[in-house]
Amino acid sequence: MSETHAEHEAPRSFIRRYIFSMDHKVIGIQYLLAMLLLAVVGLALTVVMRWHLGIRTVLRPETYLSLMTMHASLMFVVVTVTPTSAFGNYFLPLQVGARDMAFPFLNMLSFWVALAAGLVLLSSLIVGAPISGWTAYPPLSAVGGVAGPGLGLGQTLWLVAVALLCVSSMMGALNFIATTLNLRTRGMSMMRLPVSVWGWLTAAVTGLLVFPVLSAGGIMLLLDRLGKTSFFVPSGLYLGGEVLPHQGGSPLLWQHLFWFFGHPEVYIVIVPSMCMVTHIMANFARRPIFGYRYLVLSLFGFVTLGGVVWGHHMFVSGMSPYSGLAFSILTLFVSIPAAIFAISWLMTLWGARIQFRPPMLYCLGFVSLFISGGVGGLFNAQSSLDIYLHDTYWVVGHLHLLFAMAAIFSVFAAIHFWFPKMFGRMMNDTLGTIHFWFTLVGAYIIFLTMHYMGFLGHPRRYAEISQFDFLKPAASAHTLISVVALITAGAQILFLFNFFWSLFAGRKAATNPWNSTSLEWTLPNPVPFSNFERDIPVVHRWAYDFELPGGAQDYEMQTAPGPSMDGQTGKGVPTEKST
Amino acid sequence: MIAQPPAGHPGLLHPTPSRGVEHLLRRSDVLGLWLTLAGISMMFAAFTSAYVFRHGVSAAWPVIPPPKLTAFNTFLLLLSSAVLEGARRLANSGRTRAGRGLLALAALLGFAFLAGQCIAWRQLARQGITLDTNPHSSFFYMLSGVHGVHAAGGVSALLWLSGRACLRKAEWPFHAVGLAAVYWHFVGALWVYLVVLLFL
Repeated sequence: MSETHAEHEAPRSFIRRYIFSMDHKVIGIQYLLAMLLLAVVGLALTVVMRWHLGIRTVLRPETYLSLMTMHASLMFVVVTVTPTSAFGNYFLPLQVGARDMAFPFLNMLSFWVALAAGLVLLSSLIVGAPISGWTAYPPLSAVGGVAGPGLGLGQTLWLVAVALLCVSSMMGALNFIATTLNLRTRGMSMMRLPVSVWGWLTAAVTGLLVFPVLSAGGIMLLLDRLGKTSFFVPSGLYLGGEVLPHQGGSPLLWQHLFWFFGHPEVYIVIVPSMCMVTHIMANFARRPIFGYRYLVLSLFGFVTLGGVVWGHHMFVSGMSPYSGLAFSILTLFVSIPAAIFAISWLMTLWGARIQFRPPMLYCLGFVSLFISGGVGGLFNAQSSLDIYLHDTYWVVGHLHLLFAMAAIFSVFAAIHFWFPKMFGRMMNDTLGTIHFWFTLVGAYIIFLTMHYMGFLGHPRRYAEISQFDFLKPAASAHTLISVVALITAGAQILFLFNFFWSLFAGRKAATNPWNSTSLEWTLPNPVPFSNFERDIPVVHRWAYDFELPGGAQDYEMQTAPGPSMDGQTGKGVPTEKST
Repeated sequence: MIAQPPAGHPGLLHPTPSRGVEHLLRRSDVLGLWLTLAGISMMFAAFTSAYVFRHGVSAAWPVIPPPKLTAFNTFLLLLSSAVLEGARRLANSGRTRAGRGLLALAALLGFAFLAGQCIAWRQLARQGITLDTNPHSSFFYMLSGVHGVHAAGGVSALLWLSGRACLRKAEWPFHAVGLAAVYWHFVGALWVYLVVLLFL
């Protein structure tokens, strides 16, 4: 395959170089732009829904439900794909010191399949989106158009999009794992990897193990819909004036398959986000990461626990209380690796001379959201409390605060941090700071209020509450949320303006504008086609040698020879001589 | 998709006398293959747990008879696997000429397996057993179908490899045949597992 990266052999034609490109850097940018598009659509749906809920009733209930389904599905794709596939694609090979991913062709394929998934998902919005929610619980999702609007072709297209996303994620995971394990440069031992690489690797391993499970469930659901099988549809279902022919299926089976994927999926999103934040934060705190080795160990904790806690999404499914207890206890164990990360962040920040530039602000926002959202998780994790909270706005607030907002903040941090390397220009700091504060304050007002509404017993997924007396006090909360949501959504225009304006008119970036240490900052802007123009550099230390005493600079690049400051990986170990 | 080491590749990593570039690329291919097999295994593990669960919640569990061709098809697939292994070993011991014939035979046997599976489906359908007859028939059609898709991938790879080896008289693709053999043995073992799961 002559197309595989070879020095001085960059493809000449525009199409091969920028459209059907096998260059991991171009693919990373393609992912980023495609996901920005989906995120804008998802955000626009929020605006309509919040207008409807808090300001003026404009939607029919079924339209509300289909917009809700699509908002969740689109945003799920965005937060799943962006941290790993956009930034991981661009920066994993650079950070480990490789010329490209291990399988460049597969990488290209994975982007185009993901794009197809996104387009099919959008097309279901056009033909009439499903009303079954992003979890697509049967029997609603399994019996076709007879069950409600959007559950015919719309739901089928939705499932096809999910299947395509599974295929794309599998191809991506192969690349991330093989590249990290096999293509590291000399001296780049696993314990010298930037934490971000560990995050992408963890997400890939998790994805490799759980996306196939979702595919299996998706195939069965498609067969229930199109082939009249009865995997998930129970007997005697009476819909549209007739008894459906399905016999003896179990809707619970789908819930098990879905959540066996669905919970690790949360870690596929949040673990690389946490790791990118850790990496970026050390840079702006100018401090070595506290407890690198324990962070890596806790990643194993996330992967392992992620596989055994899916039942906590099913506490209200009628499962045995003993199962519920087991899932509760296992779920509470997740707080251990999560706390290790939180302690590491706080200890890294403790006494640091923090540089409050936008990437750091988003990182601090992430930590704040992660910890306050995580405290809510302690409530959800206990089946006795969750039975009350499960179908209320509490869960909506919890999910958005911890999962959605934190993930998006990590993406904002990553965009601001790596923009200079990706596009050769700096983003505007003032706009970034204003956008940060609007978004952070907005997120807290919106989603903490939702926690309160959950305590009130406000059910989620209701398009209309005026008929319920006990929800009267929630009406003003809805208005507050809607007004703040509209302002916060409006503030995103600041970000989009900053992004696109900086692409063309931003200040030209230096090679290493943040005084950072990892290998991508040794490369010129724009990064050459084969990344490292001559030899690939040798690595002598971990990526967090900040706070060095004396000398003109307070940091050392990973390529700098000499003993490392790091107490865990390099101290006392003689390093290789520079080549 | 298996990346071939391109001629004149500058190296994804530092080549050293003991760890050449080709070696590293090949190691990635092997890792990629095993990761793929891990993914496929997870998928069939999910199908298996669904099968056990669905069986467990059913009051009655009518079992369809295995299609008459099942034993013969299984034999074809395992024979194909054995023949491919023979081709690989012959070629590794330097007898690529004999290897070529066996490689083509393995591909044809694999193709025959797929055709046999289609005929088996038709036989069952003619007996009135279709996808939606009962849960067991649904699982049979689904599992054999998903297995068939993976087998079709393997057959395509074998046909492509034997075409390359026989027609173009190119150098024997040791690396690719080795990878294809691992995948093909996996497909064979998976089918045996499914037959045991469904009918024993």
